[in-house]
Amino acid sequence: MLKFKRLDIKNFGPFRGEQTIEFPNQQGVTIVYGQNGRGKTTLLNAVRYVLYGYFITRGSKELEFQKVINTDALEIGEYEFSVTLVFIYGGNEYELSRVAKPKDSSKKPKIHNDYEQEFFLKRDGIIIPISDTERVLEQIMPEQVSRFFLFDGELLQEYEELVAKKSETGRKIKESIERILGLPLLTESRTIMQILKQQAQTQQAKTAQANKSTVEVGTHLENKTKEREEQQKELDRLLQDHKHMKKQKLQLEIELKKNKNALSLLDEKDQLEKSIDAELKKQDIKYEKIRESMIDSWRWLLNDKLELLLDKGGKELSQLRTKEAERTISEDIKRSLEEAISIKKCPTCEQDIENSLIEKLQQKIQNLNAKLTDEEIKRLKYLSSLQSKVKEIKTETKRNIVFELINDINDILIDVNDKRDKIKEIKELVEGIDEEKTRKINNDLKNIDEDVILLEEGIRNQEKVIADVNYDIEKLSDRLKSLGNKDIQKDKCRTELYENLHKLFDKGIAEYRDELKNRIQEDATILFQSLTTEPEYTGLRINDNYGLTIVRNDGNDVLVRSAGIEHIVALSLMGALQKNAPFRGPIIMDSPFGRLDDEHAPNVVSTLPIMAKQIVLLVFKKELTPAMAREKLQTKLISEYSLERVSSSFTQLEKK
Amino acid sequence: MENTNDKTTIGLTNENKIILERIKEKNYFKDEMDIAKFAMSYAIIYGEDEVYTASGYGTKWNVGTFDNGNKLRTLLSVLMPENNEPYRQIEELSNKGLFLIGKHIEKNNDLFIEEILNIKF
Repeated sequence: MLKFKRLDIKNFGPFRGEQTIEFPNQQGVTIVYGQNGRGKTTLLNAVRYVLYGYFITRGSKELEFQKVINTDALEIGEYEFSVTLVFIYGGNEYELSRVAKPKDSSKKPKIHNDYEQEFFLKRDGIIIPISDTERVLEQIMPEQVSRFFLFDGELLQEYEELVAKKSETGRKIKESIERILGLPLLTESRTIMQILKQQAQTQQAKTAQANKSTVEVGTHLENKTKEREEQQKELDRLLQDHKHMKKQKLQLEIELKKNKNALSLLDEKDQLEKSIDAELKKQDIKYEKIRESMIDSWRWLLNDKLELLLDKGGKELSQLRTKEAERTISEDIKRSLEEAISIKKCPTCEQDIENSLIEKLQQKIQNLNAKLTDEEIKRLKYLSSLQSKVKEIKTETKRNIVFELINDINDILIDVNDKRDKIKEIKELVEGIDEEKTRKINNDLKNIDEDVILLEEGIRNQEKVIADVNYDIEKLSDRLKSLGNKDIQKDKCRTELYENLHKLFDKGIAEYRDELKNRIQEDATILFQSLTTEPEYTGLRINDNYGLTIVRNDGNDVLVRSAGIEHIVALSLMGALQKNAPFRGPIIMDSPFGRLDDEHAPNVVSTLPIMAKQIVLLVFKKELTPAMAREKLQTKLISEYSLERVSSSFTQLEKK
Repeated sequence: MENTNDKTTIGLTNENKIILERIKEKNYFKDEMDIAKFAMSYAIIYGEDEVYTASGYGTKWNVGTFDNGNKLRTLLSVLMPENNEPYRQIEELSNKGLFLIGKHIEKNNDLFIEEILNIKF
């Protein structure tokens, strides 16, 4: 059991000069209150720095000392910063210190390389040799499990990846979970049994070669064991490559995670740009249609004016045409009357015409001789020509088509401008992010995924080759047992012993894993039930990755979880791991209530004391008010500090 | 009646060339001739009461190209039957129309073709 006693920090971030937090001896919760920017995350990083030598900012490791030192101290020539952690482990008191100081004390350090670091660990006042320090620390608080002790509330959503995604982050978390649960001890033992078995088989081959009756099989067995060694070397090489690739993949995932939001924004920007291109093409087509419609605009623009002209002359033209038509009809009548007068008979009814009537008919003929005047004929010609000319010029108006097209273009312009505004907003949001680099990371990640798949196939093939060789070795080994003497049989027995032990560990690991999972599922469910405010959520179900799915009272899974619920599930997992891990220690939580509403937050506060014996909360007062903390924790609230602002670059730790 | 003194080319004043460029930028016309003809009709409709005097039209288009099909000459013979120099008239009307559209652009700081097309005779 690890227990923190005191943390001393000097010129670290906003903590100017030497400042200390004392952790009381009794079990319970220490709360450090601080507004944004006052140094809560820096305190968490101070612990991380002293234990592992790095800080985490925005989810990724960093080691830039010039960014850590207090700026006021730097201005007045204090170039050194340090962190010391005093803790109790296994009944001993340890003092762990890291001091960063300039290589040249006369010069103001500007970059990371201007610093050097001193690091020492004392046990009960005696300095542990530097060569042993890392090993001792690894034993006390392995870095791999640090995520369960030093955690940032903002990173709790990572645990969601355990549920479904086959991501490298998820795999890494699973590895850390199994490590904190002590599984590696068993898996390493199983590997040792495998090695011992192979060594025993090699020995069996050598023994057989010393005997005439078994020399041939012994030589064969030796060749096979050598072949296995070679194949094993190849497998090791592949596994090494695989490990290297997975590490690369993890780094890329972390990098990508930092820019995940940016990437989706950049994708959105791409889509918007594509959409703008498509809209502009549509706009070009509309413009082309307008240009086509406008070719004859000079004609249809004049339609009304020409129509008016036609209207004006139209009546006159009509009268003149009537007159002209009447004249043509008159000619026919005149011809009939003249014929009737000459034969003195009606050509239609054949009756005689009297002289008195002939006189009247002659008068009628005289009247029918009226013709269009020259002026009227000229006018008729002009108006007829005008009408045909106007018809030639007039054309169907395309005004409405043009209006429609202009409206469409305006709509497109509005749409395009909206999209351009969005692109501008996105550009502001992703300002400072290397777009090309982010896309490259994304592509690299896809490529590495494909490479990993190929490599894994290669590993499976290689394992099959080794399995085949092992099969041959087993056969040869059995044959030797039947042929050989006592020594050979002794070697064979040894081989079988190691093999059986290997199988035993194999089975033990599977059973232990299942048992752990059951225990974690049970404990996480108990915690979850006390944390959640949703009565329909009855429990949690664990998967092979230790991912937890919420189960509803109707037995169905809850497929979509809010950020707040995700937070609760992650905290339940944390608590269950703490309870089941052979390793126990303090938990330091930075902003653990950030995503929780005012019903969940008090539940979490009440549950904290059962999650670990020593808990340090770094919170802002709105997230957890002192009154609520006192009400919910009562005697379990053992100490309170606040981070008081002296200036923007100076925070003072004050005990309340 | 043919008049041998009529123009054989159509030109624009330098000021109107600038206006023509501005209209061209709006992308509503296929070429400059379409703009000049449009301006002519605009002047016929809108410019009856406007006084416009200009000179120095320069040379831009051959009338054969400008009035391919003789429809413009026909138009002039309809609207101004007494005029026996149709192409001189067409040149003047085109320049006057451009001048008037220039005033619209100046007033509105842009060309609003919808507004111009909406004019009622």
